[in-house]
Amino acid sequence: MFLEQIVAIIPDLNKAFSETFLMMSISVVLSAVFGIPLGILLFVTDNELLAENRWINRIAGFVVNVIRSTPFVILLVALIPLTSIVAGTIVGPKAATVPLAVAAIPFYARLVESSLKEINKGVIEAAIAMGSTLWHIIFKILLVEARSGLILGLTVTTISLLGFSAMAGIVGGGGIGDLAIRFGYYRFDNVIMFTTVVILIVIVQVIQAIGDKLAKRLDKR
Amino acid sequence: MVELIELSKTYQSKNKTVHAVDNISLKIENGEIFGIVGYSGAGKSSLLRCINMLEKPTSGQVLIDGTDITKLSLPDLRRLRQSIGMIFQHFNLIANRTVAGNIAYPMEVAGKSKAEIANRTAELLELVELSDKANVYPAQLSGGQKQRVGIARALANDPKLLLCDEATSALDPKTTRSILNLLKRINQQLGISIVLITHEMEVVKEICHRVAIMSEGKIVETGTAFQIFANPQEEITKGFVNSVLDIQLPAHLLTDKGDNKQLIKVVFKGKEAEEPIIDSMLRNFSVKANFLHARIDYIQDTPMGVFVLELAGDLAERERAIAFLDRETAGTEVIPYVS
Repeated sequence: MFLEQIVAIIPDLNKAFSETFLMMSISVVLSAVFGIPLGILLFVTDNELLAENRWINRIAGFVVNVIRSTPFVILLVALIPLTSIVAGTIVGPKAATVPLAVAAIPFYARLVESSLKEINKGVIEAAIAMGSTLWHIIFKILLVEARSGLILGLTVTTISLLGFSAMAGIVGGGGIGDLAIRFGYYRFDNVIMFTTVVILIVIVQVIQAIGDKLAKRLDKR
Repeated sequence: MVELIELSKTYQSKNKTVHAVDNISLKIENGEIFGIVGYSGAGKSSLLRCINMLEKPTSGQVLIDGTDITKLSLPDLRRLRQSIGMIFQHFNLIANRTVAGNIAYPMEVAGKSKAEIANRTAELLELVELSDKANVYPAQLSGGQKQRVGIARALANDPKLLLCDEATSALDPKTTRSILNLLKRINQQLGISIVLITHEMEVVKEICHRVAIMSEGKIVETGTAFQIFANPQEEITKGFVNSVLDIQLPAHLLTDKGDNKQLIKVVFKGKEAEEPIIDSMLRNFSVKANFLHARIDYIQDTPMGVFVLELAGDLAERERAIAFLDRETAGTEVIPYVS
């Protein structure tokens, strides 16, 4: 009985899974590509040894806080004009990646910043004493010393994105979370709801395990 | 080599001004090991950091080989820093780079070629006796080994000057000694000038040629290591010297032993420590002497000894003996018994 029901939704699940995969992979990559530089900017502009600049730090920090304090659903709708420019459409999984990335970038940037703050200040001081430029310090010290923290932060970001992506149904983004809400929750179909939630749990577990393992392997402290 | 002229560094906090470095002028000669000694908070760390501009002095000049580095542009300052090595109390190695990677870092910064870096790294690993640890991460090393990596890293770009920030304060006495010997060897073999800050007089005793004693941002006394040990002028200097040379006798030795005995402390400095002065005293005067305490320290190969003797004999004879010792040694004093 359960089994039949599950078999019946396999095509839907397949489609939802690939939608989730598409949304997640694009937005995770965007989070890393923009979140790491933004996190570095927040860190170096707040460090007297590096590139202290109170104004840039305050402005960047303010923008990050504004986006982070906006509920995702509101962000989703508010960003429709941007989405239409960037993705060329305002519906579907591709369109959903725009607000997902916009929400995740500042989130990850803060995690990047806090991993950078954990780096031993003495190492940065030593690097300066050796005549390093800011670029040397960013690429050879900060990113190297914080690498496992960056991986763990990206893991947390990915998992949060998975949660956000459930709301992407509002713009027809689809995905597993959306399936759980539309079929399971709104239609009181406990089997589908249960199945999709289990799948989500498994995905989260797998992502966390991979992140933990990778971070541990890279950590030589 | 290094000349500081009326150097000051002031920190301004909300309700007070701290003069970490207060109008200091100082000259460090080529090839010497110069020690700056002070308690924590004396400003020695700020002073050291002004020499490579990790801290920007509030006023004054820092001349390195005649160039005022307080006026250098940032790129010029970076180039200069590549030629000044620095080692730290907590080593400050890059945790996610291997030993070889840490030593290579300053050479990468200086834009050396891969082959050059590989050769020099191997050379330096040999110098600090860590060739077998090239591919190990710092977390797997002992404190002494980490400091050796720090030293190798500091020497990578052939500096003429090495700054040591409490380099041995986090190490045990045995490791401290081996690191100090390494620094001494570097100074002698490579001719690198060393400026070190420390609160441990042992370090001064072992390797410093000259010393400055620092307190509350000022230099209160300067001299050769031997002068400082043998003839400290200021109270604070005496405190530091005593931390190494002070003697503590157990209470029962200090209790009154009657009219025919007394305790004396005799200090020998330099050449006289090698003369048989005590022997002459015993032959020339009819007194008996019993050693209660004796130690000789070598300050840069110059001996300095402190002896406590219990002298027995007639009062008159004892006084003549003490007068003799006082004449022949750096100082003889009577230690009163406590009743």
